[in-house]
Amino acid sequence: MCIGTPAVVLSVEYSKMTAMVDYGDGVPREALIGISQDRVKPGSIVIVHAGVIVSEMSIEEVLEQIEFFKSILEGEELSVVRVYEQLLEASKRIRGG
Amino acid sequence: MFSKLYLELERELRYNKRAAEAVENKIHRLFIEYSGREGVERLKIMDFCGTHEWSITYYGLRSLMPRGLELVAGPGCPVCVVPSHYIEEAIKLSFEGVVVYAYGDVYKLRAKRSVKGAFSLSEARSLGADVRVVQDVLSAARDASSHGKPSVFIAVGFETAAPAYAWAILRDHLPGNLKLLSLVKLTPPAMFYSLEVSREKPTEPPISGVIAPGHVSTITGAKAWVPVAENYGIPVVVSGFEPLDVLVSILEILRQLVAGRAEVVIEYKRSVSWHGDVKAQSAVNRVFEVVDDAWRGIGFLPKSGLRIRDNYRRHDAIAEYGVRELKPGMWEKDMPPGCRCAEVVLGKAYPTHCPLFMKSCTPLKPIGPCMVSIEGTCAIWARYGSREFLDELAREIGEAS
Amino acid sequence: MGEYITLAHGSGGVEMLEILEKLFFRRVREEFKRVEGGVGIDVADDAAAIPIPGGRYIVVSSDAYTVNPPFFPGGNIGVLAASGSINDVLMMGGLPIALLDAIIVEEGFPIRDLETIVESMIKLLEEERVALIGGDFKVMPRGQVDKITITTTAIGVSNGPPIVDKPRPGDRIIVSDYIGEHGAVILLTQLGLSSDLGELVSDVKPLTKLMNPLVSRYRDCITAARDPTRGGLAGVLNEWASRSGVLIAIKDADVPIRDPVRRVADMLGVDPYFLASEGVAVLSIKPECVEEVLEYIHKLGFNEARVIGEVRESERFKGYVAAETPIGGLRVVEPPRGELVPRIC
Repeated sequence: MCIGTPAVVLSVEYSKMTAMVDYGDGVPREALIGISQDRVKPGSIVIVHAGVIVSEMSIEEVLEQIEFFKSILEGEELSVVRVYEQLLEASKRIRGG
Repeated sequence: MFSKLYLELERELRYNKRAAEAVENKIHRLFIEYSGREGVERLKIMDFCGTHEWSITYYGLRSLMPRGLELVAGPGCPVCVVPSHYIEEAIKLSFEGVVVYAYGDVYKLRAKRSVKGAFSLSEARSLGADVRVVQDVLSAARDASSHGKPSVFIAVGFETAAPAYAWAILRDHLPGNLKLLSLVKLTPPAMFYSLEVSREKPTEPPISGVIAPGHVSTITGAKAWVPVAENYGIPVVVSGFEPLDVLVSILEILRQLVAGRAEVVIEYKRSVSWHGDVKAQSAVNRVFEVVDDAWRGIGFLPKSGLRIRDNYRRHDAIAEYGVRELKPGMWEKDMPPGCRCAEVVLGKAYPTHCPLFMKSCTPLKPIGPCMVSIEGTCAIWARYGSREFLDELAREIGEAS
Repeated sequence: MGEYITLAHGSGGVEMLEILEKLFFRRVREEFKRVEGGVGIDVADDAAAIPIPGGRYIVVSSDAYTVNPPFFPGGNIGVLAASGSINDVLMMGGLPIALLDAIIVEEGFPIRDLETIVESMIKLLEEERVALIGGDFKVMPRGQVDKITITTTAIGVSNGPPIVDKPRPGDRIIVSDYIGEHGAVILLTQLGLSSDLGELVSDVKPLTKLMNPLVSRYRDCITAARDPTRGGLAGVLNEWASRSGVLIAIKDADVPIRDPVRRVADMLGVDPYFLASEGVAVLSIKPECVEEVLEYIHKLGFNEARVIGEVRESERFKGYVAAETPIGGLRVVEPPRGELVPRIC
């Protein structure tokens, strides 16, 4: 169950617990914030299920994902790990500035 | 840009054949090691989530598994487990002039009995009822406030969808004319029940590992599955939904089996944490109470459903329209006689074990809930048969090329 | 239900084939299913063909267009109605020369909107050098028709035998362009998920620039041609597989799908193969011509055209469409059934 679509948060309206998100097609759409509001900021990558934000991808979580893939793939060089690392860099940049 | 990179990541998880093959080879190696050592020929891993099942089918993962490693689908679709009774009640409301909002899959869901000639909300619409398909509760709220007619939103879902309904109520997104018919279900009770049943009959191998629902766990946290790992001594991996996620999760289950471990591990680390989202959990608790609830094809499971609390009854379709609740005594009427859907759903029997399968129960005239949903196990078997079917097809395509 | 028409009967899937079989194909006597020497509902292809002297054929297709909303990103019902019937004639190997239209409009429909619709239809016909030679115009009381429906009948001439779809083992399947764009636009708009869809627009267009030169030059190489409208690519391939008793094997990775369409399909939980295209051709090409034909299609400006799979002979799996998934798995591409609606689970 539970189709979830990744999206980028464009803006947040905390009083209504809603956010405008972009699913990757460049169109802003409204979604309810289902999780703690401090996890949802402009620039956050979130997962939206049936119009509600159910998860946010933090830097720490991406780091953990990288570690997990590295451990399970036991040293095999895979581009997926490289992409994760790039993702992490980009995220740091956005949040840093 | 972050989002561009995210898309690249998704492509890696979805289309990187080399990565998939590397994981696949490890799965094959570990399966041989484990089955040789333990002397088992068959091993069952249960996926619990309709979208995992969809990924497994859509990306053809079953055809990549070693022979004997079976991926069975659990009762993980909040739509297919809605009892016929509630669909009938919704159809009734739609004929009484209430605008009914439903997700696409609820709209198509067939009831066991017809109401004034309609077996589903889509048929009710054909017969003149005002039934509208929406993708989320906010769209329904916007639409309902634009016309002001009495309206009901069929609020199905698991823990994932529940916060949406809770926040819609708590932040006043629902216009006065739109009520929610909450049929939200909680997943851990169903998972417990599945595992319990899988051990009752020793002729089929029990479930040896669980691919736990990723998006449910974003809310509940992975900790919700600890009792499963502990009580049944099997690995539980909370998995993402891309094909590589699912393959890696299967590999992790095998790694644990070989090492003799039974732990809850999060594969879907980028979205799931150990504790979940406490704020979402508390919003859900404020709005909903936990009740014993009926699962279509399975039965009543204790503390497995959510209904709107009295404080918020002005948003509750059950209170507003006097929707009758299904009672344990009425349950039998909801289950077609002879239907073995419960066991099929729970991975205990294969569809071909059921006396109705492809005789009185077919995709065009489904009887049991496993045939009703296009992704139900029986419906899938009716179209493709089994693993043998895929193997043969693979051989045929391989030979010619 | 069984006794009533439902929307599923008109969705271009399994149910529609069944109702057509029940209503027409079973009732009309064989000799009246076509004009002698021609093609009719005996094969139920894109269009009908009537032989005329000189080895030529008149090709005719009639189609009723309803689309909600009548204006959508990338076009409107007028463009759709003209392109759709023109494409049906083209897919049969005919060059369209004339069109008739029958418009039924609801009382209260804005005249300005109607003008825009008709104007864009006429402009398109001019560009295609297709004459508008007749039609009908009716108004229905409010509520008795949903805004507007347009029925068009396109007439064309084929200089050789019509292309009656019969893919043969060994043939390659070519798709001329990105798929699913019209279907994605309409599904999103109907769900009220925004009328401005950014870069995503309907692909509705006539395919004359592709099909006319292609047919003139390579008619003998084409064993089947179809535009994947309702029911999408999955619908066309399954119909071909079951009618011709063959297995069609494709590779998912080779099917051209633009990113926004993929996002929409992901978001709504639908298979992009079920989404309609209104400006794409699916072709079955004999193996000996395939390279040349593909190169020629590219030269005509259809740069995204590519081979997505091939036709196989198979006793056990005739009628099936199978896809190799990007990560090397195998799945069955199912025929469309029921209404195309999003799912949450």
